[in-house]
Order: sequence, then C-alpha cells, then structure tokens
Amino acid sequence: MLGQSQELVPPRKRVDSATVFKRFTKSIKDNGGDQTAYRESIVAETKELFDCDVDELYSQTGGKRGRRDTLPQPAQEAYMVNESISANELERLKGSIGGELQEEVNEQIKSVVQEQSKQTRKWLPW
Amino acid sequence: MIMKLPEIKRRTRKVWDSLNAWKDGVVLQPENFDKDVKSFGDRRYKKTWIQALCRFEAMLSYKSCLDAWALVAISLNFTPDRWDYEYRHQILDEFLMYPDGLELIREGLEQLFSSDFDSQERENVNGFFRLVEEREGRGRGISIPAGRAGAISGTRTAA
Repeated sequence: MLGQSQELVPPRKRVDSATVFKRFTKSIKDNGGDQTAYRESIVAETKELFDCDVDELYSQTGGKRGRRDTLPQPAQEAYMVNESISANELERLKGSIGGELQEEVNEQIKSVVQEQSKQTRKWLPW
Repeated sequence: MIMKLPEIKRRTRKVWDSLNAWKDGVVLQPENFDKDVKSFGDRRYKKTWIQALCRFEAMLSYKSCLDAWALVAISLNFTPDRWDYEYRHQILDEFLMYPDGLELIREGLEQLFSSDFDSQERENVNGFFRLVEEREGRGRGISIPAGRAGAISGTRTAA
C-alpha cells in the first residue's frame, strides 16, 4: 500500500530561482531571441528592478559575481518573480513575435521583459 | 559569412547603444560613440571597427552576467549560425581582459557541471567547448594574457 501510494506521486521538484531562470531563458529562445536578446533582457530587467547594472548590484550588495545565490534574498526574489511572469508573457506571445531582421525580434523580446519589469517594480518595497 | 564594413559599423553602433542605454532604451550621450570608436584607431579601416565591435560585444556579455552558467551556455556559446562566429576568438580575448573574466568562465563551468544541469544541457554548450578546443590547438589556450592559470580543468574532457 505504502509503495503504491509513492508511485502515484508525480516526479516534480522544488522550484527555485535557477528553475525559473531556465524557463525564462528558454522562453526568450523559443520566441526566436538570440544571445543578444538574452543579454539585453537581463540588462533591462536589472535596470528596471534595481536602478543599476548587474555588476553594480553584485558589488554594492557584496555578492559574488555570476552567482545569483549570493545576492540578498529580496533581490533574488525580485528576479525570480519577474522572470516567472516575464516567461509567462513570452510563452503567451509565442508565434506572434517576429520580424525580418533578428534585431527586430530581439527588440520585441527585450520590450516585453522591460515592460514586465516596470510593472514588477511597482510591487517591490524599494 | 564575412561581414562587410557597413554591417560591422551598424552592429558596432547597435551594441554601443545598448551598452549606453538607460531605462526605456534611452541612449545616454550618443555623441560619445565616435570618440569611443576613434580610441581603437583610424575609423577608415575595417580593423578599427572590428576591434571596437569585439570589445563592446565582450562588454555586453560581461555586463549581463547575472548567472555564470548562462555566460558560457548562451553569451559565449559561439555556434556557426551566429553572426558573431567569425569574431569568436577576438571576443573571447576581449572578455579575458577583464580581471575576473576567466574566473567567471570557471564559475560558469562549475555551475554547468553541477547536478542542476543534465547531459543534454551540457551538450548544448558545444559552441563554447569547440572554441576552447580550437584555442588549445593553436596554442592560444584560455589563460589571461598575464599568464595566470592554464586551461580550465574540465573543458578538455567535456569537449
């Protein structure tokens, strides 16, 4: 009986900011965004959420560059929330983002992330 | 795909703009662009523009490095279909000029080889591993110019 009930548990995992970030980067790629869409989205997201660059965020909070888990919890949460909702929006828009040039596609993706980040910022305590 | 000068100029402007944009994509002091490019040499030469482009591309990869794994898996994962493939070595050279550039790559590889990633995800980073392999073949390695450290451990087996 015990063994059977265990088999019924679906194979899910605890969601953390790494899981969310992966889904976010995938939603950029699935919309046709390239490495520049990704990089510009991160830069825009950070500016909107924190009024600074990624490197400034790390240096001003004493985090270790390249390791999100060393950022203060509120910062990690802000990214996580924003990337989750931005990914939802990008997944919803899948198929409708396009353009003749790669740059046009990138620009649209970045704008989606930028707009979402502005909205997210309104709910943050700073 | 060999890029022509007008295309290189256009891309240089584009990446410079995004490096100098503030919120809403407003570019701060756009008049500085000419001065910045001039610092790489004579603007009549293609070489000058390529240098500027590679420096600015490396800078954008550095400035967007929130998670080190994505630096390796996305930003520096040069595959032949990418427009910047032709300049992959020069961009990586520029990236390694940052004092912690190599450290960020090392950190990124450590993250990628942790249990958070599966073998398929690691295979997708092929563009980066190939780049490292090419450099080893040319004796260029991936060490910073000052000669600190050698090849990154783990890259050889992974590639």
